[in-house]
Amino acid sequence: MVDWQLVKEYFPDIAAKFPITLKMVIISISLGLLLGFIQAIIRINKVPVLNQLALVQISYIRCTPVITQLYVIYFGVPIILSNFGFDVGGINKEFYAILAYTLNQAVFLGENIRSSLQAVPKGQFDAGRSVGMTEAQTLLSIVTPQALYISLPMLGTFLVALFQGTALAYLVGVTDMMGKVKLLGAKTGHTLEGYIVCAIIFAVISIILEQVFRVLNNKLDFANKKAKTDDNTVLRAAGGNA
Amino acid sequence: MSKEENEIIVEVKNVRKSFGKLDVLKGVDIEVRKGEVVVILGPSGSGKTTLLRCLNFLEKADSGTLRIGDKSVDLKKVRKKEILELRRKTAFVFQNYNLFANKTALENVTQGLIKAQKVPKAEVKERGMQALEWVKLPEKAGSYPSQLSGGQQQRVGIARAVALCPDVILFDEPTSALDPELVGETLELIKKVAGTGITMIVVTHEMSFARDVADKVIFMDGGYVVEQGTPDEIFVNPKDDRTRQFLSRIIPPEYSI
Repeated sequence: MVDWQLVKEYFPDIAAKFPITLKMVIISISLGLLLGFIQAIIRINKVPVLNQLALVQISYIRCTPVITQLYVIYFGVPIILSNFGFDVGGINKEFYAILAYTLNQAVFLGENIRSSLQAVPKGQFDAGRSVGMTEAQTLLSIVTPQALYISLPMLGTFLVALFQGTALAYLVGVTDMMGKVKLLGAKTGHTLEGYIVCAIIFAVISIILEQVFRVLNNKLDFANKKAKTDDNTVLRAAGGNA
Repeated sequence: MSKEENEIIVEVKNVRKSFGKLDVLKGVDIEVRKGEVVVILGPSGSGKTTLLRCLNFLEKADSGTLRIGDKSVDLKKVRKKEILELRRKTAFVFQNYNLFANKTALENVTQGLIKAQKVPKAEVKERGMQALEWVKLPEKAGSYPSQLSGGQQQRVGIARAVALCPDVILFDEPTSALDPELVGETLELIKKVAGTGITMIVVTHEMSFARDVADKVIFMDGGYVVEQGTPDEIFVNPKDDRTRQFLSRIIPPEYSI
């Protein structure tokens, strides 16, 4: 039987670890977006050597389970670092988890960004250049906003998946919500109640995230946007020949 | 016409361009005088659009020289900065409008003024609205391209080009994507642009427009300029067989002059 009283008692302790999950998600998705953008630019422009390296990294990340990637980083990186003379003892376990999730996200987000940028009609680049904007200006003010809109549904899916995916981080010793459940379980012998708390928190936050992305999607939808009517233009239009 | 004495504002010499093994431009020379309306005619694949796109570096020509105004470059070794400088002397009206999908009609018109020409903010909106009023679309200032009809989009496209006050406006089959009813009003608008005395190079299949508006007609085929001259010279007395053949096919006999 589920001890609902225990669920209630566990809740504050487990929820207190939510910021750790949040931190892992925010850092991984931000760095992932940055690296992903770089990866996308490398892939689109087929930059020699870097493009090949990116392809290797993409197949590695795509073709291996996240938990394997997590362990490879967790056990592999300290060896590399200590070879270079770093003291790995002081490194926080969260570092390895964040590194693994960042590299994972970079690949998936990068491919998403690449396909979204390439989905923007070429004529938009042409138009940007034709009015005298530089490549960078065109990319920034014309192409990227349109690509962002195209990529948004996938971005939302990735974010929710990452959020849930961080539940694995306790396997490398991060005391996030899942890690806390394990500790509580070891102490009291009741684990199920803890996992129920986790399930509730993960579900609620995921639903909120999905809604946030739905709102964002509607906001950014320039194809169905309401016409802008600021006072001045309306006034002028009324005087013009409508 | 007095335009014949105007200075040459666009000068293209021996421009060549190939896509892989396909030679699209095989050494094209054209000259355009200030204020002239030059119409480029020719069958599909003759290189007209490519030539137009090479003029503002949407396509990079392989060799040749290009002069616009007082700036001249060797197309083989043109630098990025020079490309930008030359491009900013031109504006382009596209076959498929290519309005910025994420910008309103007004923002479409002002984008280049703000980002490329660095026109002060207060002035930008004024000039943008002026351009939209000029194409009779001020009430659509806040609309997004997806909310405009094809004809309206092309009018915004023309406003966007005109607002830049370029040395030359390049039109790439500006009416080809429009339904027949809208072709007329768009052509009228392009005539209105021509009436302002701005230099224009127009690629089109609208023969009557070419006859009425052009100061000079250039006939291209197979990557070469086959023949050029006044509309009368080209339409009434074409010298080259290829020109005659093309015109006889495109203008039914009962309508030809």
